Order: sequence, then structure tokens, then C-alpha cells
Amino acid sequence: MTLGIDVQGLTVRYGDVTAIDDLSVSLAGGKIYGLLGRNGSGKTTLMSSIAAFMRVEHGQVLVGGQQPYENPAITEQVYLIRESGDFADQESVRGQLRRTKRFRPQWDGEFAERLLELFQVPDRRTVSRLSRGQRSALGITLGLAARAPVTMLDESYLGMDAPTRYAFYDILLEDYMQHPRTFIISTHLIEEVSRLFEEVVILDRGRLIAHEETETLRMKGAAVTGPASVVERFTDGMTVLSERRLGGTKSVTVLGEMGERQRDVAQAHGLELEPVGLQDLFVHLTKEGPA
Amino acid sequence: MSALTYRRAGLVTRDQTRGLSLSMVIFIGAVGVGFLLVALLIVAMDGFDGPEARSVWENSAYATRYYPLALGIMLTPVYLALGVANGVTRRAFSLGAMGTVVVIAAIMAVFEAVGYALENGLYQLAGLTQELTTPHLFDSGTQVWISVPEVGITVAGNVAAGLLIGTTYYRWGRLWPTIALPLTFAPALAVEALMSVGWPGGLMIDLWGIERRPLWLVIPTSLLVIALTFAATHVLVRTTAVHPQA
Repeated sequence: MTLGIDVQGLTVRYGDVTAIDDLSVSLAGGKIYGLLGRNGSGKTTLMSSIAAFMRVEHGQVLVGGQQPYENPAITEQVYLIRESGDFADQESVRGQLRRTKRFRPQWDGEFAERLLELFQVPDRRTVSRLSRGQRSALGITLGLAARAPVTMLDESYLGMDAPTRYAFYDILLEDYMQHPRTFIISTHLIEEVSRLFEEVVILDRGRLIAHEETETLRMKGAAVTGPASVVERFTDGMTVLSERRLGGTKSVTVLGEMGERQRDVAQAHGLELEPVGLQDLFVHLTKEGPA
Repeated sequence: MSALTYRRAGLVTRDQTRGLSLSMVIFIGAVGVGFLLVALLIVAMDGFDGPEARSVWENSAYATRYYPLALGIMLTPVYLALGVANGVTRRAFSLGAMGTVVVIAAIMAVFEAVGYALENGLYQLAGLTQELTTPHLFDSGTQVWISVPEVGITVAGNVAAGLLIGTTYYRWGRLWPTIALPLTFAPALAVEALMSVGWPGGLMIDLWGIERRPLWLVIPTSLLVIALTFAATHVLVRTTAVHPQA
């Protein structure tokens, strides 16, 4: 079961601060979406609106064609796992599993046990005594094993170490292939997670600045690699996103699609052309002073 | 309201009572053992010197009202975010929390009533008569069929007030809920004053000379106060956003 999400004219204000500014975006569902944005760009607010953590005052949010707020048929199908998790800190890990099993109709207990073992989360320990990484792993375990048709991970795995994160990416893909559903993953670890994304949504100051398939977005620029002097000549006049140099070899990431002629020239000069890194593109699209 | 909402409200009640169960077992054990020790100490000190002996257990009423009040205060701050994160609507949460209030009140009512009956029996064995010093609907600890509803309704009033207080703090932070405390705590006092039981009932009778009204009037009125407290909580919870994480 997959559910699409349709956001139209959503505006959310906290006092004087506009967190989401007239945002409209449609996600067809049944895909893994990357939700990118700098701190304060409105990612968490958008996901909170979809998960009915807050009431939508201006605009409209529909999940599966229905408004989620106070709609039990939709809320039990949507799961937002926040960075610190939503746990009763004095209860055991086992207690959290019992609670999620109680409320989530698609709960897979065996999968949850497998994940706890994989992430080495001690199941009898109280949540307050878990390390930050274990806490993140518990949130991920609940989020994946709940198999909610719309699962949103809001920086939920930041506390996990690199090997555990990579294990999580693999298991997420594996589970997604077996049980297709809509994933929305908000992250700052763009390079690390970008291989998972089928589509990318980029927010900046509460506004949508890009919503494309990942490959389409990556084709909006190119990484040009080769002898330094040749690369410099080739990229002269282009918008440079980043540069790297190792000895006589230079790699320059430029913005703009490469036409057939440019590709031929690059090939003739022995230059390698690769799609642009998502992170470079993200930095370019959202740069304007520190957040 | 849909059947799904009622089903999930039932799950909320189960979830909350299970979450509070260990704390309640410890409380009941501590109060039970504590008061037994106090009674034994009084006996050892030869404290009962007449045919009528003051009820020691009667003092446990403060604990069995204000501890559940504290549980009520915790419900929204601890469980609302957990519920919503697990796909529970606020409507189901609110109904489920009311269920929890009823369960807590029922447990405390049985606990208190058993205590009164046990104390009465022990006093009789010792040749003493149990003397109740604060006003009650029952005259003797053996009248369990009266003591259970009396304690049940008064505890429900306290927990319902606690639920309202906790919800206001979760929603508005510290300042306004603290200023509004006399209003939000009022249902707890009103229920006991209406039924003329406990210390508020004692105040009504002794200080102001207001005698208890007929039971057919005071019991439905007390239940109405509790229902209105629930209704106020329900209205607040329905529009309360889950707090962002720090």
C-alpha cells in the first residue's frame, strides 16, 4: 500500500517567523524522497504537518487524498520518526516495541527483533539509559518495523555511527524493495544517503526551490576531471560549484547541463564528465550566508 | 465518532494504564505497608485507649487523592506526543485518557474500600470500634458498596482535574496555567465539597454550616462536574500541537 502526498499553499508561522511560506508540492508516493534544506528551512514543519503533529491553519495537506489531522484512517498509516525519537524514557526498549505493535496495524515483530540485534540495542534497558546511537537505532527500528505506508525519518539516524548508518541504508533499501511504501528522508548527510533517493525535494526558507528526480537533478551540472590546465580551459566561463586538485589532476564541479558538443569536446581532450554531486548542487542552490 | 476512534481510545487507555502500572503497584504497596506499620506502632504504644478508636486508614485518603492527581497531571505531557507519534488522533487520546482516569479511580476506590473494611475488621478483633473523623457517605468501613463509589468519584474528580492541569501546562507553558491553577484545580475541590466528603466537605459542614444535600442530587452533580472537566480537556487537547524536539 502506498499513499501520495499533496501539499497546496501551505503556510506555517511561529509568531513572527514564517517556517513554511506558501509551499505547494506533490509526491506521487511509493518512492524514497530526499527532503533537503538548511537548518530552519521548514523540513521538520512540513513533516509535522503531514504527520498531523500540528494543525494546518493556512493551505492544505492531503495524504492519500484525505486530510490527516484528526483522521484516524490516515494517521495510523503515517509515521514520523523524529531525531530524538518519541519514547517514554522510563520504559524499557521492549515496552516501546509493545506500544508500537499496539498502535501500528502493519507491525512486523520479527523484523523488529532482527533490527534490534543488527543495531545491538539492548532490549531490556530503559530508554533513558540508552546511548544516543542506540536511541537513534531504536527510533529507526520502530519506524521500519511499523511498515507505515508513509514513513518519514527526520534526521533520525544522526546519532548512529558510520557502520551502523550504512547497515541502516542497506536494510532500508532491502525492506523497501520487499514492501514498497513512501519514505521521506530528511538529512544533512547528503552524499551518504543520496544513493537512496529517487526524488529530491529541496526547501529554502520555507519555500520549494527544487523537486526533481535525483538523476535529473544531478544532470543539471557536471564534475569535470582531467589535467588541471585542460580542465581550467574547458570550464572557463562556467559557474563553478566546487574544485578539488590532486597533483596535476583537477576536478571541477560546474552548474549547467552539458550539451552534445561540449561532451564531444571533453572526450576529445581526455576529460571525464560525471553527474554533479547532490551535495554540491544543494550547497549552490541554498547558499546565502550561514544559517 | 468512528469505531476506529473508540478502538484506538481503548488502546490508549491500555497503553497508559500499563505504563503507569509499576508506579501504581509501588504506591499501593508503600501506602498499604506504611499505614499498617503506623497502626502497629500505635498499638505497640498502647495508643487506642477507649472502645472507639480513630481510623488510621482514613489519613491515607490524602495519598490516594493527590498521588492520582499527580498521575493525571502527567498524562498529557508524557503521553500526547507518544500517542500522536504512533498515529493516535487527539480525539482518541482524549477519550483514552478519560478511560485511564476511570481505571485509576476504580483501582484507588477498591484499595481504599478494602483498607477501611480491613481496618474495621482488625479493630473489631481488638474489641474496638472504628471511628471516622472526616465526613463520608458511609458510616462504617464495612459499607463497601458506599465507600467504593465515594472514593471512586472523589479520586476521579482529582485525576480529571490533574488531566486538565497537565494539558494546560503542556499547551501554554508555565505562566498562564499557574495563574489559572485555582480554576483548573477547582473541579477536584468541587466534587468533594458537593458530596460533603474529605477535608473540603469538613470545611463546608464545620466552617460554613452547609449540610450535605440529598445523594440523588449531589452524586449526579459531582459526575457532571467531572464530565465538564473532561469536556474542557477534550476541547483543549483537540487543538494542541505536539511540541517540537529541542
